[in-house]
Amino acid sequence: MSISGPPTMSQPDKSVMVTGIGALCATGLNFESAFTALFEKRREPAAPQRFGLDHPTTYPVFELPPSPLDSEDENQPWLRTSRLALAAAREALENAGWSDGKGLSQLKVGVCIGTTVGGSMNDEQFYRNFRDGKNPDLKPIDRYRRSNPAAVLAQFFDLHGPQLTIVNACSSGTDALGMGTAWLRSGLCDLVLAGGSDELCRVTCNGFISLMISDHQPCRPFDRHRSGLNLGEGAAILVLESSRLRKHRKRPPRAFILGYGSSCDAWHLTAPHPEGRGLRQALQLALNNAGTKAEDIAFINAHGTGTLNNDLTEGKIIKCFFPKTPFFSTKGHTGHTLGAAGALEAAFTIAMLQSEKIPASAGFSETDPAIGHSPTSCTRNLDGRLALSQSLAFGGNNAALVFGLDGVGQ
Amino acid sequence: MIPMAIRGIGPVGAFGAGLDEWRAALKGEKKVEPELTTIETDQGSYNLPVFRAATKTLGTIVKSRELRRLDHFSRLALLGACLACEDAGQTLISEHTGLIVASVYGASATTFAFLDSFIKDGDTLASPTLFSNSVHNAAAAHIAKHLNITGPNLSLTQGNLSIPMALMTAAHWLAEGRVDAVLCGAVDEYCDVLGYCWQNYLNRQKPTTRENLDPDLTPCGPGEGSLFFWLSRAEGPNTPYGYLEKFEQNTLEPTNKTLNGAGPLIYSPGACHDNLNLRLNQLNNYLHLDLSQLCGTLPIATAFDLATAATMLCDQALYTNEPLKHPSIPFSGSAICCWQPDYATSRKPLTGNCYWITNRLNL
Repeated sequence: MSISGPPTMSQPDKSVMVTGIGALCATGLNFESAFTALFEKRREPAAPQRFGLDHPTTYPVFELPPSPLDSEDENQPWLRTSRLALAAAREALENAGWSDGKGLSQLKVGVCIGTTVGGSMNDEQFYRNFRDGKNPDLKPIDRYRRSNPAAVLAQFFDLHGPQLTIVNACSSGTDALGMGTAWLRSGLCDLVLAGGSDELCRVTCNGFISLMISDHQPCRPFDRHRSGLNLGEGAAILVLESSRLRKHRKRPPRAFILGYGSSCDAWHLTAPHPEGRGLRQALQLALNNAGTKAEDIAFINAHGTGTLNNDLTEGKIIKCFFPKTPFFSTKGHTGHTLGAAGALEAAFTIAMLQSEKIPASAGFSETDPAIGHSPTSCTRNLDGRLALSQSLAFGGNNAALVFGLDGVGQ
Repeated sequence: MIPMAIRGIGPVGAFGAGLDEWRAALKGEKKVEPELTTIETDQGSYNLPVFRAATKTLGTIVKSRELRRLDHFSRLALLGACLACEDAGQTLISEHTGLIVASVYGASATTFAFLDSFIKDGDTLASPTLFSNSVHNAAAAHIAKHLNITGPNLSLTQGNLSIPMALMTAAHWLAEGRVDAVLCGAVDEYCDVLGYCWQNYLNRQKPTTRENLDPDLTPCGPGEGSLFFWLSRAEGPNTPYGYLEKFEQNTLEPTNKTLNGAGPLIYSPGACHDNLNLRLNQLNNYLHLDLSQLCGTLPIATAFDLATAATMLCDQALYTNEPLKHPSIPFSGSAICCWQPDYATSRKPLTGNCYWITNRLNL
């Protein structure tokens, strides 16, 4: 990695193109199937199949459909989170016309990935053995140490640009896309693989259940009777390219990242600011960065976890600043995929802009009077060309991205 | 990368807290003693020297009520962050301030304590407080809340590249105009699991007894700590700590003209336990500084290297614990280079990350 040249706002290449998407989650093992399922009514969160939990109540999760990725062979070189990221990255590169990353090693290619579980050293079996004085083998630690998601992708595709794993909890994926955008705008990179990845694991499930924000029913984002989230797992990787690089290639971009904003509530570890101070700030920054205004946004892919606090704060902000803009949450279909969520929702947002339709907000049926504003209740057609995807996170982090079908000056 | 002015430094480690105590340790005026911790391995048990960091000072800065639910990891981070702010003379923080927290292992002790809570008592008794503090960005949230930093907030982990990526991100934010200042730092804590791993990795690399290891190549014990910088764009009033001018990856060789032209070099052989097979005799042309004697080996040691370079520039003195025979050498140069081997991205020996700190720009 060699970093040089001044990235200044005076000479930004603002047209950051999204040229490829790869994703997998509970709704499908590739992006097309995952996206298509958002428009179906069927959703089937269930008790986790890959591990057990010992609670009197079953807390359903959105697990990936069975696949070879499920192999728990101890000789697997990487943690599941990195394997999911790799699967999504391969699909994204194929989609962008860079099959298997061929030709990328000659370019300045960065990797920026958001995660939560993928950054945590918490192998339960290793620790149980350690506690029991069994002198456990270090294989799980070795696997953790070489499984940094950004490093895995860089190594696998022989990429030589910056690599960064963001661990901003639930906004990690959105922040990773924002950071990748900044790298391209500054000229640091020609192309960036950016997104998020997270696996379901016992440790995280126990954590969210202990916080008493897990629903024992399928989650109901923005609904009056919502009572928590369902965890999910998945990965989404977007191929971002500079317009300079894309000039030499024929395939048109899928969309553009036009703006990114982020902020912190500086308020509470586990609850958003009640007036949405930080979210408002992040949204304003993203809109300013995109050179657009709230009225131009065709729809909002909301964070919408299904928890009381998140949806109340987020719903009130949307009502106040985007009173006529349709919004929805896709977590009723995917579950909360934590570090992958922002990237997965960004990918869905782009596909919705392209297909000119948005889905019903799964799980919603009755307006919450405390919010006074309702998400979509059926599939709707669109005619706008700009959309927002936003994330609120543990620790009070907020991040928002503005996507468009047209680049700057087009 | 645009040059960044270092306007404040907040170090916390086994040597104490704050620049005065760090300076005293660098000069050899303060002896740093590790604690002995018993580690069990399949080759028997023995005492491991651990360089633990105390956070008592935090009680004089933050109300005890605000500290009630903070774990040791977040306290380490918060103390370093507060000290950097204080050192920079920052009392009022605007929404144009960003926060970056890098960590290689995160709140590892808290993470395993959370596992303890449900392994011991069952899944239904998993501790929500421990879980909250185990999340990677909990420390950043605590810092933001206490210092009211409402600007962009980023937690990251990238192995040995964690510090360069934190600094690169800070430079990007400043260059974009997204922020006017960045509180940028790193934190890692010790836990028994890491101690166990540390010792086992040592034994794996040298399949002999610990006593037979070459003392010149053997780090003296794992450590913990935090170090934060208050960074801003280079324009504005001069700063005594100089400017982080650039960093890049390169190969360190005695004949490397680029490095020779950069002035003295800080190279911390014990900073990372991946470095054991480095041959120090290849580096005789450079100043050696083994910070592991002051804060233990810890994955974020690069931050301490940079802080040391900045302190030397400020003090116009080279501190070398070689080992503490001549603790201070007068120095009138204008640049110091820090270099740290990086095995994460290259297996070639002596490839690493190089940072230049200057006390005037446009060298």
